[in-house]
Amino acid sequence: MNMNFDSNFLLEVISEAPYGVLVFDKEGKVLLENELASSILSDKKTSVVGTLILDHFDVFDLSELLTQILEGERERFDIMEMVFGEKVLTIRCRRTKEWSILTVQDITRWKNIEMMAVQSIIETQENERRRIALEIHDGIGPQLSSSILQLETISERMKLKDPETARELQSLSDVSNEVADELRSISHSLMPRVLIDFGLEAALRGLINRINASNKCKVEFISSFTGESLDQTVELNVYRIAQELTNNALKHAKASSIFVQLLKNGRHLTLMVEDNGEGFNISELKNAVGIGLSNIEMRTKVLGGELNIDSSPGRGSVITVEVLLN
Amino acid sequence: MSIRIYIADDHAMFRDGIKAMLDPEAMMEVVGESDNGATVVRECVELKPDIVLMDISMDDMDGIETTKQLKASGSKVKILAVSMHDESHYVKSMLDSGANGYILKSAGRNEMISAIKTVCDGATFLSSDVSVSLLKSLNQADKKVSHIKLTPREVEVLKLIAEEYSNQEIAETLYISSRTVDTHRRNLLEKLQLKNTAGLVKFAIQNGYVD
Repeated sequence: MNMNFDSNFLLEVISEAPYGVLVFDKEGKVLLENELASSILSDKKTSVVGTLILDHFDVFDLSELLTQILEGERERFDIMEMVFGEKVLTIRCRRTKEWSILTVQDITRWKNIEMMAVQSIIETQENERRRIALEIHDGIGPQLSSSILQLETISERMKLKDPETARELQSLSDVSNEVADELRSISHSLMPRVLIDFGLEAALRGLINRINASNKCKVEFISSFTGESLDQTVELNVYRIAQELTNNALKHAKASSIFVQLLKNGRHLTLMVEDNGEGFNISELKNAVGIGLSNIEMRTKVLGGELNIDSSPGRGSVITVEVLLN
Repeated sequence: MSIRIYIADDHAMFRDGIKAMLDPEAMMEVVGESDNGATVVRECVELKPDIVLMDISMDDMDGIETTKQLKASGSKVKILAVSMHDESHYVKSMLDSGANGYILKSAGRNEMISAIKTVCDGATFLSSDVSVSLLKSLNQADKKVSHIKLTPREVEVLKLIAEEYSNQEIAETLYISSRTVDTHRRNLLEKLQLKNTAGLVKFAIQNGYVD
């Protein structure tokens, strides 16, 4: 078969592919590319044929995977989502006997749309929570309180005439009191009024006092924050992140000690949650859905902040969210 | 002489509940009520009640502000906060504004009556739930003054910095990423109000973190 014809034919085929294609040999030298691949890799669309594939993917996880492919330790990999400079890419790779083929897809636009959707989900959710919390706090709560007062009043009045009924009314009022307590705690976790009235630091203190009061875990709060008021969105999201992180440390990591730090340095706000729990493998976590971490990730993104998760099995975890304030 | 009581709460139902509850008390009389702070201040000056049962979350002017204005008006009326909130910040703000007591709306009849009596006798009354949260917050305030605390992980990082480990070496020793080491380092500088690594080393030696 004519080699020239072969590569022209191949070029024509891959130029029509709806994603970037790169073919490289065992040494990692790029043999073939299509225009889409070079335009994703560089803004100038410079050809990468003849260069080393590793030079273009100098990103920690990816360069390791590629090295494994080149050394024959790995047949394939699929990275569904990877931040690459300003872009978000899907990168897949397959190895044949002589060559490997790598495809790149720019999913930045989809990620942005997803981001906007998430933002509006978070907003809607928060508005709904606020509405329900207000309804409990200003509606059902006081109504229940006044019913309890009336129950107690009647019970008091019946004490001499009908002690049995008085006792029954009193126990009814005790039960109602427990319901009122429960309602208050639901309303509080939906939307802590203290966050609106006194700001982030006070709300975090409240959150931590509540955990400590349950005696499940010792939580310490360290704050260099002087309590000036921040943007409502920042306060609410940082509070929710702290809520989620402490909840994870308690429920999933079964930590017995948690440190929550809120540090403000100029325009930098740092929330750092350290625990001595079971810890986890970060690379495994990336695939695992849930544990609320994706929620935390989204909230961090909404704030334009940075999330850093550090953990290893048996070594607890340190999670940091940094936000640049306006 | 009976105790003259004024009720400030933006929920009519709750005011009615309190009135019904106080009705059988021969020595207590409700002389007025209102759902907003401005009216409370005006009427308390006119009616001169002995005590105001003050809600915190009211529209327009909240209980904290109303308490301040009442005190500023020169009124001698005692103020008992009756609130849904059990967080120490609310308690502190009310007491700082001049309230004489603080009970939760979930307080029972007996507690409310004894709170009214105690406050009218010139003493301070706090619900037991409220005093616990207040004590805890005072404790925390003390700690804050005594000095900002380092976490166990920060102490580990500080020790290694003092032993001249690089970020990468610290990361490997502690099984964390060098980015996290960097964050710890920045936080240490900020918390200890130091300028650079030399300052951290000096601090570690002076405070016995290294031999």
